[in-house]
This record gives sequence, C-alpha cells and structure tokens, in this order.
Amino acid sequence: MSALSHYLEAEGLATTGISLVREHAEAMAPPRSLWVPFALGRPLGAAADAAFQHRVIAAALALLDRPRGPVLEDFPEMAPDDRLGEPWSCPVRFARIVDAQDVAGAARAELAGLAGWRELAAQRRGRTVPGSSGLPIEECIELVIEASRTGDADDVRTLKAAVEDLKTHYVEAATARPGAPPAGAVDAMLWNDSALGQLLRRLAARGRKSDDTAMRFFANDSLIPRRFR
Amino acid sequence: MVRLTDLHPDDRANLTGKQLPRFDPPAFAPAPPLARSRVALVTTAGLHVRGDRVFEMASAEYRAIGRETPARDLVMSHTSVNFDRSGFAEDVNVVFPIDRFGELEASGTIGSVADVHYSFMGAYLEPADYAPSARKLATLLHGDGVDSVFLTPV
Repeated sequence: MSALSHYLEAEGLATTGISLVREHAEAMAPPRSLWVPFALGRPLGAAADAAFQHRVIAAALALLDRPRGPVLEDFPEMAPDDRLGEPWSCPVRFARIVDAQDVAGAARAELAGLAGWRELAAQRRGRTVPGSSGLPIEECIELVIEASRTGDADDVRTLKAAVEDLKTHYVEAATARPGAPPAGAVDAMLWNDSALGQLLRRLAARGRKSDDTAMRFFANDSLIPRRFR
Repeated sequence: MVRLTDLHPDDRANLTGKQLPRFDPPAFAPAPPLARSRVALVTTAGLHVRGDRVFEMASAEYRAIGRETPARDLVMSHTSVNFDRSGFAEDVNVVFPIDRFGELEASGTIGSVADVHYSFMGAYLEPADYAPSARKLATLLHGDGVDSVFLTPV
C-alpha cells in the first residue's frame, strides 16, 4: 500500500489512505497515511457502521490539505467491537466428529447443516460473497475431500478458490444474524471446532508432501492461518 | 489487536520480516481543494467483479471495478489467509468504502467519485514489484480525470 502511494504520487496523483501496520508506514513513509488501530481485514474499522466509517475517511482525507509530506497520523478511536467488548453469539453449531476416520463425511454433513443459516444471511444482506472458484459449494467440498485424500490437485488455483469459497460460506452462515462478529471470531471456530477445519488440516498435511511445487506452497503458506497452525 | 505487539508471534514475525524500502526522494503531489477533487479508490484487498479473473498466488496486476458495480457482484480472491473476512462479508464498505464516497459526493464534501476504481492483491511480492502496474494505473486514472486517490489495505 505504501509503495502504491509513492508510485501514484510520483505520477502526479495526490494520495491518502489507511495504514493497518504502523511500523510499515513508519518505515516506508508514504506521502500521507492514517494509521488505524483496527484488525487486519477491516481497514474502515466497523462493518455496517456508516458514521464510524465516515469518521475514518474524514481523518484520512484531511491529510490531503497538508502542504508537504510524508505525513503519518494516528486515528484516535478504537473500533466499536474492540471498544464495547460485547459478547458475540454464533448461531451455528458445527459438526461433532465422533469418527475421526470419516472427517469427509462429517464435513459434508456439516456443510449441509449450514444451508438454512447461509440462506438467511444471503436474504438479509442481499448479496453473497463466495464465488471465486465458479463452482457450486457442493463441488467445492468434493474437490477438497479428494485433494485431502490424495494430497494433490489437477489445478491448485481452483482448489485454493474452492477452499476460500467454503470458508466464506461458513463465515456467511455464522454471521446470518445482524452485526459482524469480532474480527477473527469465526476463523477461530472454523479452525478449532469444525469438521471443515479438520479436513483442511488433513489437506495441508498431505499437500506438504506433494511433488507439485504449487501444491506445497499452497499447503505450507496459503491454507491455514499462521495463528492456527 | 492494535499494534504488531498484539499479533500472534508468527504473524508479527512475518510482518516485521518484510523488506521495506524507503523512497528517496519521497514523492509528493499537491492535492486540489477537496470540494473540487475527483477521487478514485484503490485497494489491495484482492477484490474483483464476480467472473473476472481471480488473483494468482502472487500477482501485481490490478482489476477494475466500475463505480456502479453492485456490492453483490464483488468477490475477494486475496490469497493471504491471515486476515479477517467476516467484516467484508457483512459490508463491502469496511474494505472498499464506495458507498461512503458516493455520500461524500452527494454532500459536496468531494467534487466527484471516479467512474472506475481498482484493486490489487497485496501479498507475497516486494513493494517494487508493483511499480509497473502502478504507473499504468496512473495513466488510466488521469484519463478518468482523477486527481486524488484514497487507498485501503486489508
């Protein structure tokens, strides 16, 4: 982000923007940057909170008035979720795996069990986020099950997209009711409590042994978040 | 989570281990008065229109997003798995504040919102890898009459 600021500015475009990692902005010194104390993935701080988003934007736009740079300022407010600390209750019950030999079956059942919540989420928002793979969600899970069995895939890019579609499907189901959960809350449930999480861990373990460089990269670096490995 | 010190040690190590060039001399373009500015959004969130090409594992390319693109047609194919996506699922504006800028245009706070906005996917590459794409993008932005850019990471 800081590099893009520099390159665009060098072409005569005035830039301002958000920095989520203050240490990076300090090091790279983009022309104008507002550091915000928000979670990675939420640069405007709060979903469905237009007033809060406008305060963040206004603070960043104000930097355009500065006659010279680099400028790095701190946004003074915490995100509402962090400030209020209200408990979040997930409506979804993830599958309880009683047979570790049938993680695939548990993942299929779990996915089917999310259908109602996921439909409710789509109706409430009027939109749905999965779609990178271009595959129906039922095909996504089968692709992942097969790859977790063999440790390989014909097209790692499609496999990666299928995994992301599945995860996003879970996020949508878990957030069917109004109000975004605290950052990372759904991820924690997915990776710690769900059958899909177990299936993906199995995929990672097998994929790391693949002869395919792309598959090994995917399994090592672009599948399980670092904090859940 | 507010500082690097609040992150998981592995995330912190990854972020502090990056090569971070300092640009010398620093670039700085004067901005027109906000009420007369034409603003484009540029994000590194890996967004694109549903059906457009997904981002490769490491890519310095950008994708164009028309101003009138409905939120329901935007998807995220960012390859990093190390950030929260539930906020984006709830509200695209938490990453890509297109509705907020429309409101700023309507209120006269800014002059206008650009017709086209852009998304990169910030992961796995060095900052300098984005230079060629950024320069091409600058040409497109100038062509749309843009003079100011609002950048959001993810």
